[in-house]
Amino acid sequence: MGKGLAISALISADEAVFDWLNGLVGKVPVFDRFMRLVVDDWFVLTCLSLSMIIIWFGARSLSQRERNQRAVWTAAWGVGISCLWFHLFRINDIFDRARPLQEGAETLISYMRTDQSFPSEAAAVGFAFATAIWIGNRRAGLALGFLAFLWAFSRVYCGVHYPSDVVAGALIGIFTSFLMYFIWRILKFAPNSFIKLMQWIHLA
Amino acid sequence: MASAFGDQFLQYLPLVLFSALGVLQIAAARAELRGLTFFKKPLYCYVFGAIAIVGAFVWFYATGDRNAEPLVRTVGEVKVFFGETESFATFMGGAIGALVATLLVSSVVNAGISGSTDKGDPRGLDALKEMTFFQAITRSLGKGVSHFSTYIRGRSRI
Repeated sequence: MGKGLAISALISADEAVFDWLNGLVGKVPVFDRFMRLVVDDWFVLTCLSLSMIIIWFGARSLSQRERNQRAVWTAAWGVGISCLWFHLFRINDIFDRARPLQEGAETLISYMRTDQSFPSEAAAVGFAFATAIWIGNRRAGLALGFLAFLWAFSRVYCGVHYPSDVVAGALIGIFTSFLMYFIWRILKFAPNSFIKLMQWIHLA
Repeated sequence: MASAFGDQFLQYLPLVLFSALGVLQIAAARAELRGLTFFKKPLYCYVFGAIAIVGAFVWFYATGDRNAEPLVRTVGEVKVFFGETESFATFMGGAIGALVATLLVSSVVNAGISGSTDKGDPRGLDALKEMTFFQAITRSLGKGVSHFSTYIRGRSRI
């Protein structure tokens, strides 16, 4: 009984925060347009992916370059495994939670998604990128973390997710990237071999 | 339906291709990889990179509503959206295309770089600070053939 009340209270708080944020839509049109740009499936994801190129090639010192390249390797695996949680293991289907608009939410300024709301794959992917890069390069990781946060925030603001969906997604992404980091620290031969091969053809 | 998928692919690919070209020039200028840059002055590389990236995104968003529902097709019983596997494959194709274009153009534009090895035997990307990609690959292959010949001669004496 107590557990049920606690969960109900959490859900109510979650919905209250969502209503407050989503209720801001329409108040500042310029901000709405910016959020519409950020929330789509292309902008942030493409920026995160392009940043892997600059992180891989753009370091000035050899030691930083090697750390960056290992971070990109970890990011690729972190993002890949994060996506597998959703597409292979289908964790969305475990929690039967409809999208906000399906439950009568105020405003949706993006297209209607029809899959389950909890947890957020976008948040998982964004934070998987950011965490893996942060491990090897703090400044770049913080910048990507800001992008990932913006993407997650826009998902709530635009009515696509509840706040708890993006928090859970972020935790999944962070956990997965740390898991990949520790796995590849033990199985060093794989990233080492890949980077050596890239060095041999002068691309690392 | 098939042609609409093709349209989305043809719109996302140029975005990735040109923005990745820009990113590569910025990265090459930052890391002082003279063999990869299109211009001698790093400032020009930064400007080119910024124009390519911003231009690609502006074109992409000006030519369609990117917040519209993605196309759906059914593979067996599974609904597949363009935005996951397809966009990943398109991104990889565009990024690799940009890399190949960069290597080709920079090798032609910088063909006159001395390629001196005063600083020893630079490995990996460090070689591209002094020579083009083609010069570096040719040198690596030449060394590989030389080592292989030495190895074969050594074995034949045994």
